[in-house]
Amino acid sequence: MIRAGAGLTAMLCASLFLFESPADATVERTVLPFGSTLIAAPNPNVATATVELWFRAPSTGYGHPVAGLARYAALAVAASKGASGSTLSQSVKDLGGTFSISVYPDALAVAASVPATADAAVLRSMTAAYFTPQLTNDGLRAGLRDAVVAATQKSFDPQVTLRDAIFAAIFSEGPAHYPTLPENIVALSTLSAQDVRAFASRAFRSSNAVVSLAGNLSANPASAVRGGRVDGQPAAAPVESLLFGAPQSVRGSFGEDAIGLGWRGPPISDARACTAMDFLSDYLFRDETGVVARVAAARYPDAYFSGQYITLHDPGVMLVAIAGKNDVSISTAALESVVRAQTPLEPSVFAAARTAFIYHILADTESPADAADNFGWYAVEGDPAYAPSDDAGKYVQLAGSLDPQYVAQIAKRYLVTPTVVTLTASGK
Amino acid sequence: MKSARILLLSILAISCAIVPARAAVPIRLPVPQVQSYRSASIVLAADATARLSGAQIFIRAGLDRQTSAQNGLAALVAQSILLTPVRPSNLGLRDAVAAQGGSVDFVIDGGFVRFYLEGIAGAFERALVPLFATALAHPNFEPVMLAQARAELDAKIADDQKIPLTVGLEMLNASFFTGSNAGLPPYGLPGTLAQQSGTDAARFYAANYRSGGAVVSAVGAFANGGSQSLRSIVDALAPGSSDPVRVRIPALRGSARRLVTHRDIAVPWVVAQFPAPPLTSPDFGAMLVLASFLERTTQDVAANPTITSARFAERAVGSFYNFDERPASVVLYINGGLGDPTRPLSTALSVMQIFANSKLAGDIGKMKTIAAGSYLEGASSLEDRAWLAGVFVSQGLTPDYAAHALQAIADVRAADLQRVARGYLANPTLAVVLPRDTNASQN
Repeated sequence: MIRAGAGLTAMLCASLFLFESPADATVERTVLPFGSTLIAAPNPNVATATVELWFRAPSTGYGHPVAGLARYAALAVAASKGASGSTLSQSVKDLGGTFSISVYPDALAVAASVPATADAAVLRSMTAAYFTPQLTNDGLRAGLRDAVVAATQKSFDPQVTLRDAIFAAIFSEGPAHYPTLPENIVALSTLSAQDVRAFASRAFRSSNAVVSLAGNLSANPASAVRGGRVDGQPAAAPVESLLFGAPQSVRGSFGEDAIGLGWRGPPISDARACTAMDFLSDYLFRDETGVVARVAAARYPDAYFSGQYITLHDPGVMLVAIAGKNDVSISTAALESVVRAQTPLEPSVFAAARTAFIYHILADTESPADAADNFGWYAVEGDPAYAPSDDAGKYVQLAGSLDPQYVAQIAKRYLVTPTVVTLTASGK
Repeated sequence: MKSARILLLSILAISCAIVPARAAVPIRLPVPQVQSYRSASIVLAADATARLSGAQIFIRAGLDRQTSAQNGLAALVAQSILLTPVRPSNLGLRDAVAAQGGSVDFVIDGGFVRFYLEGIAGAFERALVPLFATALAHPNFEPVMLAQARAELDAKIADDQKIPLTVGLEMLNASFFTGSNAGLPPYGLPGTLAQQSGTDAARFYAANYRSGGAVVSAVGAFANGGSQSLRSIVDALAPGSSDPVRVRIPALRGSARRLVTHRDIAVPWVVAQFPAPPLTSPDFGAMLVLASFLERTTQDVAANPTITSARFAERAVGSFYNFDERPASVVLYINGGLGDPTRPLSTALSVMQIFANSKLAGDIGKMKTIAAGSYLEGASSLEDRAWLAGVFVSQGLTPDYAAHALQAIADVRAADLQRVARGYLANPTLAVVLPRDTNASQN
């Protein structure tokens, strides 16, 4: 027993030493005059830069919930022509860059990935467009059209469909209860331009923004920020959603048979427990390497399988999505795996899995776009210093401190009874 | 034809109206160092900000080293290397690397097998490179190992057959490479793989896993300078070099330039392949511009432009320029999710024809800016950076892939675009991948 413990300690120390903070890596954090938080992770060795704006805002709006309102407003701003005569979306594409909008129940992100020399110009255009939103009728029309396309795409996507269904079954009220992409645009199309403007003006305030930059950046990116307003308002508090009392089982229909499993996890304030949930998700469910993912791929190569822990303000959600003919068999394998996870892993297995986990975390946040996403997400969820992209932050240290007993304890506490969503192929 | 002309003119007119002429601002990146070692090239791009290190290892043991009877042997050898047990754990290389905080995989190109090894910077030189070099020097081709390698390749082949773009590309490549077997399917076929023995694998390995012409291209943070550990990878290869197998594959002509197949897919796909200038050609920059223009034009024809950019997997229309291959090609693909895919293809071809034969009056600055941005977008990950530097060096160029391409694009004139469009983009070979239940009359 003593020998095993000593061996484990040695292995833990060894894998901690694998990762050393890079000598030249720095993350700058600044609060700008108009209240925005700026996070910049420069890397002069890459040819691109990523510019992102993150806002805390309910995806369903501030009044009577309208699924998809936040995304619609963000799209409409990006598609409205500004003083330059071009739209933000078009100007990014005209640089050969990519433009995206990501919406979550409690936040949204606007992102552009562009050649290195264009970051300041894009940051100028993006902040001018969002901090002082000018919505045109053309922009609103284009936003609605994109919402139709997204709704159609979503109807074929098991991961998004199951995530929405699981969230709807875990959260009883608040934006997390509703899909971030609506199933149709009936409700959105009844909104007036004034409704959308009102949302945009409140959500896209400069004081409610996190500016996240990564990659090959200009010398003083903060000087490019435009359109900020002094409104005396602080950044919005994290957006909360209420929970149902107990896990439940829900049935529905989809294009193919599908099963979703969801477990409530710890809040972001319990960073070590969140990191343990990330480890479990990586060890069990990660594509290609996870224990269950490998079994699913080997035995049921035609099935869809994914699993991840989503760190949220409170609570997080462990989510597993399965689709295809063998969904019940894979679901059984996933449920059995979380039961086994409640027993501590053998030390050498745990040490190898934890080293692999740290590598996966670093690989997933390696490109400028991934790093900027990561900084923005953890900032809006309430703990910017916990971002895995941050070398000086606490994430990698926490990951290195995990041990088999603690991880098993977290599995026992959180991975007990899941919320289950069973979707049946529409034709059955 | 008229609508295509209007489309082209409107695209060029837009380029003049919205975007004022921009002076190209050079992007200066540190230039990787190149060393010659045992007839191989070692390319090292030190990046002190990186938390990971990665190396692309190009070895001249790709598809063109196989005879047609050896279809799949190059992949079988590479897959066996991933599974070769390494000390002290006796795990297979892939699992041993994962347990030390990294990953390793391979791609089979026309001329190269290319391994990509990546890991936590602190472990890369100390642990991962020695594991890789050991397996590379002493691969295990015993029957049990070979059976597992075959099974994994069979699964990859089955996966590829579900992807219409891959199916179309494999059909096109089979006739595109007329002077070598570089157009054989990357992983072979289950039937041909089953025929390859351990002796065959050992012979292929002995003949082709040579240091001559190999390139090791690494990016990342190297505490010990990197050179010594990267040399150990080259040391794992025998000296000398090998030659491609010489074959003559008849080129498709006339009506045979459209290839049709059926798969279990929801919508039809069309994949068009054009010959293209190599990376070393003075026409490289012009083709980069044309390939990105072709993609954008076809997207505009196929669908209403969306506000956000589609991710690669979501794109109904796309194009890419295979400048790393010899001969090079440009591929345009359209899936039928948005309607009949032959209509945007026809319009795109008409636009290219007009482009090649009409006098261009507009400013091509916007096209060049978009092409440069698209190119750089493909150079943002550690893996892409190592790959690009390695590709450039493998073709006898310096490894400054960004500066080289941006200069090539900056030098492009309207006359170059016309000449290159006329020379290359006139007459593609088409692969049509149809859903299985499609009525035969639609073929």
